[in-house]
Amino acid sequence: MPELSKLLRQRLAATENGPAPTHPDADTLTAYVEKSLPATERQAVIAHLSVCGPCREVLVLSQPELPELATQTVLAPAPVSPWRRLLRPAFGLAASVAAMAIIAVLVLRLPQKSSQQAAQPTTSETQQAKANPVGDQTAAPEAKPAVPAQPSGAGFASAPQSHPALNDKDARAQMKREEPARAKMAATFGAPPSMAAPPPSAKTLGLTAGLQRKDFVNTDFFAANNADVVLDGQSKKDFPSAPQPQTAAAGTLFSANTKITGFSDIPTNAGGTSNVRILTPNPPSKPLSYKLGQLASATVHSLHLHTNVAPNLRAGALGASTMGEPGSFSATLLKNPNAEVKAAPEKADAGSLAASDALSPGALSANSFASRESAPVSWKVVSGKLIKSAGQSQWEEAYPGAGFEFSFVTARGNDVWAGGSHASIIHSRDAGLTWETVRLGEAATGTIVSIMAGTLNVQVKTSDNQSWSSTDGGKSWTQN
Amino acid sequence: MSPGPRPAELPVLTLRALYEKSGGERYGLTLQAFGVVLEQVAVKYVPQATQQQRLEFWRDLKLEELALARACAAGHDAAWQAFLTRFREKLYDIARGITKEDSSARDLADSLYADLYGTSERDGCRVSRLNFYMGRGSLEGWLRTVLAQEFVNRYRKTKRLVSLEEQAEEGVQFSAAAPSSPTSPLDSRLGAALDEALGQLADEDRLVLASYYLDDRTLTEIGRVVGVHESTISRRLEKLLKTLRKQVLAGLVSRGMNRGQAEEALEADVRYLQVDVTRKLQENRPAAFQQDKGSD
Repeated sequence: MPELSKLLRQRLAATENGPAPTHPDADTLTAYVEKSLPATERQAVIAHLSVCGPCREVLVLSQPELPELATQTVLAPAPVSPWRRLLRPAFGLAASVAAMAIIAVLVLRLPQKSSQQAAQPTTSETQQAKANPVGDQTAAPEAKPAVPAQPSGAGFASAPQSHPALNDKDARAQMKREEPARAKMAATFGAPPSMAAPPPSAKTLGLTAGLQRKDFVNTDFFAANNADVVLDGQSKKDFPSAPQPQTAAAGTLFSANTKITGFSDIPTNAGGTSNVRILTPNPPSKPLSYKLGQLASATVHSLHLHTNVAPNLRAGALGASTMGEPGSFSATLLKNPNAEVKAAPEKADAGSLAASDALSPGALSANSFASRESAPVSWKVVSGKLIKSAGQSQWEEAYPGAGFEFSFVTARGNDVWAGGSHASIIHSRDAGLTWETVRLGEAATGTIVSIMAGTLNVQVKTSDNQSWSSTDGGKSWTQN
Repeated sequence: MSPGPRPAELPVLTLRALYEKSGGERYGLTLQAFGVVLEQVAVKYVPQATQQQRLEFWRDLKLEELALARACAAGHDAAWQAFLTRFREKLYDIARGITKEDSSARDLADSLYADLYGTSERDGCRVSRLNFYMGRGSLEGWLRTVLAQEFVNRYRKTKRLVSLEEQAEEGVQFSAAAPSSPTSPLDSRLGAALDEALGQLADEDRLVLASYYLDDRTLTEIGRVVGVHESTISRRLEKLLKTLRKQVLAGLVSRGMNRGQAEEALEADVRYLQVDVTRKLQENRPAAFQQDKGSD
């Protein structure tokens, strides 16, 4: 492969720019890039490009920069060959059978060896040993049929020792299966350098085989089985017992449990009945995640209630309170003009807690636990285009055919402001469904570098160091 | 203007419809002048076409931008105002995208702007570069291409003036005498077989190979040049190499080698070619472009 690459370079370079080329003019190259050339002319341009390095350079340089969304990497699942897919269940089954066979052999052989020195156990004893595994038989119920015979401690101890042998065997089987594929790869010409995959090593294969075996053969089965026995014994002490039916009379609650005599001095409520009924564990009817979601939701809800009763901020203070020092917000975005702007949650006033850093993003996102369909719209400017996403990884141009290049976007809930070259600004109150063009004064020049928008107060800065402000939501503007 | 404009041959109604579509009136361009421009474009690109074919060709042009550019070239203030509003900032942005550096971008854009305005005179008239815009692609695309051409031209000019120290830094080696690569009969057979295989390739396949192996372009860049997705380029490259190898082997066999010798020749001959390849690539690949790629 590399040898032909070098040869290829040499021969391609030798035939470059052979005859004195007549380069296509800028119009034709532009039309080629924009795919507006007729087929015959397009073919002629391609023929020229195939032997003209400078024109290829021009063509690549003249391409508009790639928008970010075009370079998004899509992670595809790792390719699995059909053979491996077919063999997986069989492989897992074979490994299980092999493990059981080894255990059975050990179980049958070990007592025979020990019997050479000790007294030979009777057949009935052996059968009894096979029939009665060690441990609490009731704790390891019929739910574990995969290990029918666990006669002695030796059986448990020898089981993990059989794993390395199994690994080697599996690895060899794996390598054998992959050999045709590797031989096929070696036989082919190979991929270009950037596409060439490293050859699989035996070490990798062994590791892979081990990992895959773990997927299909429950290596933790023995430990888990044993642990079940122990845990089951402990569980009666550690975990609360099944909930008991509650009775209306408080006295009967405690009469059943004589250990809680220390609670006799618990204060009673006005009715004279004890209120310790809350100590009785509730039946675990809901999953834990649901409860956590409810808890987070309740927390955020209570915080919202709290902010609603807080005094409203003056309109004039919005810019400073929500966006910090004038210019600081824009400076952050200017460093990364392609930065994604997520629409801040729209609140009754800009001083709400949700807009500040008081709540973690996790807590705020928990608010949408119950209503995931209302994902926030994200906004960003890429290559002079205004782009929005509705929570998924799909982006779309929000304002095509603008006639100017976007440079800045900011959003609060459904209220979106975007600006660009020639002091152009557009504003949407419905998350980009409809837009209105905002006109600054006639003297406005430069590219919009910052928009700080409150409910009514809006402040705009341009690249020509102009500062414009509006106190009526963008209807009228004054230059500062 | 160009010789042989025949505006009278264009039906007046058709010309007026195209003129209205272009909006040339608001830029100060007259109907007569617009007709001359259309005729000039047709003479350049479809000289043998019938009147109907010409009409279809004109309809596909970017008429509004063509009128704007030609009105600017004619010196109409309204057109210049519109041009500056739309393209002044964009020109700098495009230049910055090409040079990846601010000061040289401004220099490049200013230089083109002077050409567009027309600083030189011919027969007492300013010669604006906008006179060369024919409206086949968008005006912005044309400005991009012209800027890129200007940048490549500049590089090729200044390349001859690069000092020896800079050339040494770029990795150019100054050997006393270039060792002549041994041109054995094996070489000639291998080269001929590969040339033959390359000669059978379609132009687009050769473009893909040249972009990948000579220009060191990424799959994405090649995909954009050819107009297909990068994964298609990846597959095509793989397929091309397999085909080429088969053809080269067959070519070597047809030149008197057996299969084993052909395989061996393909692998053994590289050491003789390596020096030439390196030098050839240094000649054909501007170092500045390689640096640009590296910084991407």
